[in-house]
Amino acid sequence: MESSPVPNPVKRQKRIDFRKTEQQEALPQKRFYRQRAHANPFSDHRLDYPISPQDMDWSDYFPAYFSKKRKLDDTADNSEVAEAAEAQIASNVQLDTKKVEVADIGCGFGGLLVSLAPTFPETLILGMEIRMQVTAYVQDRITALRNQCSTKKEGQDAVPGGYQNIGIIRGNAMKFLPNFFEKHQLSKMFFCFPDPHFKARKHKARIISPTLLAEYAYIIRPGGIIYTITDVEDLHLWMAKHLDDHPMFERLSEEEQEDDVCVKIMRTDTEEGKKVERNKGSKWVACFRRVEDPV
Amino acid sequence: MASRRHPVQAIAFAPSDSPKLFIAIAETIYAIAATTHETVATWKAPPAPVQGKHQSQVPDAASKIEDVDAAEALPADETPATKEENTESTDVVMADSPPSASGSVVGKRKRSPSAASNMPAEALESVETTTDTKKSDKKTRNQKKSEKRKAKNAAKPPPPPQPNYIGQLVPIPDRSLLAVTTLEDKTLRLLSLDTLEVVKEWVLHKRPSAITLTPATILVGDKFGDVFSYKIPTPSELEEATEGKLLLGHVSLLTTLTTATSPPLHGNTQNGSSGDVKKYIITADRDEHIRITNYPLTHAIHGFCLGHTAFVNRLLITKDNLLVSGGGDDWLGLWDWKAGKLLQQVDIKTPVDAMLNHEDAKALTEKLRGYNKKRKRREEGEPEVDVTIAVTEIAEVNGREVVVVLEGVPAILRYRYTNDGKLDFAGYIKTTGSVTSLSVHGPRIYFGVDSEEGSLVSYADITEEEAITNDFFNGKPFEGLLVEEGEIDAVNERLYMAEAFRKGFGGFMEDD
Repeated sequence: MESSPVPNPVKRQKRIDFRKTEQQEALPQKRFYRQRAHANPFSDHRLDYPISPQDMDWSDYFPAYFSKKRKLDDTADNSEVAEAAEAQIASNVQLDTKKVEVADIGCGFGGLLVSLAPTFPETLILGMEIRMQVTAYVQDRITALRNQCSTKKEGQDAVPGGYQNIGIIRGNAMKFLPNFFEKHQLSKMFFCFPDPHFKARKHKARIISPTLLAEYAYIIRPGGIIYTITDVEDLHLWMAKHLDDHPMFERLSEEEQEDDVCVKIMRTDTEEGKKVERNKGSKWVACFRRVEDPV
Repeated sequence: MASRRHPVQAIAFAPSDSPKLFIAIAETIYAIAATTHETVATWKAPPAPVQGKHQSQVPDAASKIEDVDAAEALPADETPATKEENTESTDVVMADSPPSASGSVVGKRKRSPSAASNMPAEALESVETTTDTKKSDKKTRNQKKSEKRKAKNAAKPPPPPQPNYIGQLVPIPDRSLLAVTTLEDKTLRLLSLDTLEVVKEWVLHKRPSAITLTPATILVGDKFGDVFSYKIPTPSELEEATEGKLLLGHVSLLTTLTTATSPPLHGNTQNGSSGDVKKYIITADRDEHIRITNYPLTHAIHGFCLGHTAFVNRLLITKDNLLVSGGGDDWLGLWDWKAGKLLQQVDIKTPVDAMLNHEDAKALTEKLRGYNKKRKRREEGEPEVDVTIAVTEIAEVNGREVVVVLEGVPAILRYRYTNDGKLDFAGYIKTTGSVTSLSVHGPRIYFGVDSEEGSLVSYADITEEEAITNDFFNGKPFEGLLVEEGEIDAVNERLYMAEAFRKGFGGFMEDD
């Protein structure tokens, strides 16, 4: 197994310095959050995940929508509490009434999340990403966007939802989705430009596989939709084939697919999608609906 | 102590007209008549094929393939050299590539004489030295560097062939068969229950880690987390080639699996199918999950039993159709598995604390961790508990109580059902060493013990309050297997694997 390269202390310090500086509203810069493009989904990462969905404290990720589950001790960061309270007042919603309904698996730098947020302002959308630096970037990006919204100047249009409805979590979706989500909790799952894992012996590491689809079918509700997009035709064919073959999913027709606003966003607003656009590459989309449970 | 007795790593009792106890010691299965204690048949697993890229190449076929490889592998600026070397180099390549080495041909061919001398003697050919000196002046610094590295890799002796250990034994008495998994050659075999002759075999995709039966199939879970089903053939079907069917998969090492059924829901049989009883496969993995999957519609997951904080290693469905789970936590889970509800955390820690003092328990934990040298903790200096518990067996005896084995602990813990359907600690059966295998039939527990003094295989009857342990062989000599001193570590590593499932041990998924 490859080990990650030794961290460069100078770069690391720069990164830390950058993140420490006051930048409540400044968007983070990607160059301070570089990380290799791949992570091994099989190895043990240092991950935080709840024992079960009931044990999950969502308030860290959606402070405007959830109350703190765990008790804060005296040493707790008071600014955190203040921030949550502020967010809750600003959003003026009843706490703990919503659940995460949309998951972007392998959300990368969060382009899709940020675009989906104002499109579905009433829906909680969670990005999951296994790479730590990339997760940190998206977290800082969301924080900055939320701050921009709360200090909005006169004459500016309000962003629906104020980016309070998107969150990012570091996790291994191939192993721990059932720890986060209950049966039928999700209405949409996105798999955008996943790692192609070209070698045949690595196919088990692909995010769409016959065995993992059973798990996705478990957490997505009947009628819910799985969205896939990739610039690798082989991978597209693989994903479409396995979803086609799986009894719990049926493919969306061409019209349904093209009418779906998410497909449009997925094509144009994901970071990878933009890159493929610049390189004039092809993008392959396939969407599948979760069918009813077998009797 | 120069050598020691190899314990029994798997045991199974098969009732029939001539009841037998099957025990596995390293690569060998012994069928022992339960009444006379005579060994009536043995079977030794064939050596596993050698791993590696070039394993299947026979020498004359190899030379052709190597030529192609060499041409492809060489950088463009070396093509002149390729031509003049091609003919003589093929011999060298064949002679010095150990069967398991998978480094590129270039590296092997241009290995420096000094590095080559590290090679096993039979791999050395004088030809190599001459070709090397001839072209040494052509080498650039970079080339030399990469050669050095490659030579170093290639100079590693090939890993010695591992003995093809028996994994698990599952008798299928109504078909007179014994299902056997072997770990190194990754094979599932059906043996005749009477003669231990192989009647059927399937090469598995990955190393098997769990096996269970349904009425018509054998389910095998592997270290990559997948579960395959293999149809149990009728005598007329034995010759037919059949393949395993992928049923489900975890992205985690699958530790154990079992099956369960549920009574009909409101007597709803409107489909007219015979399936008024719902069937399920219950699987557990190293990442704390217990999954309930519909069977045979395995694409539909019924639910999860989540609550464990460490690996889950064993599952048991009780007479009351509850699920007992155990692994790296210091409690057993008692579950309403259909609702995914944890009914009781059955304490293991207190009984263990009462049985072993803290220092003994600590030494035991250290010993077990030491057995898995390859799986050293990646991050040192991390605070952690010094005593840990790992459940290796859970079995129900006669519908009266549940017995539990912990890795390394010289005892069998007994838990009795209380009136409100919970489990209560009810003492333990002391053994002369750690219990390495266990099989229950009726009120009797058969178990293998890792000790020099006591019996290799014992049994205890759980009919009275005090369960008395008896030597299964009743004083009769049994040949068994002696382990040489140099092999003891390797044997321990194979026998004591549960503690190594705990998080923080290095990656094994990549290589399995």
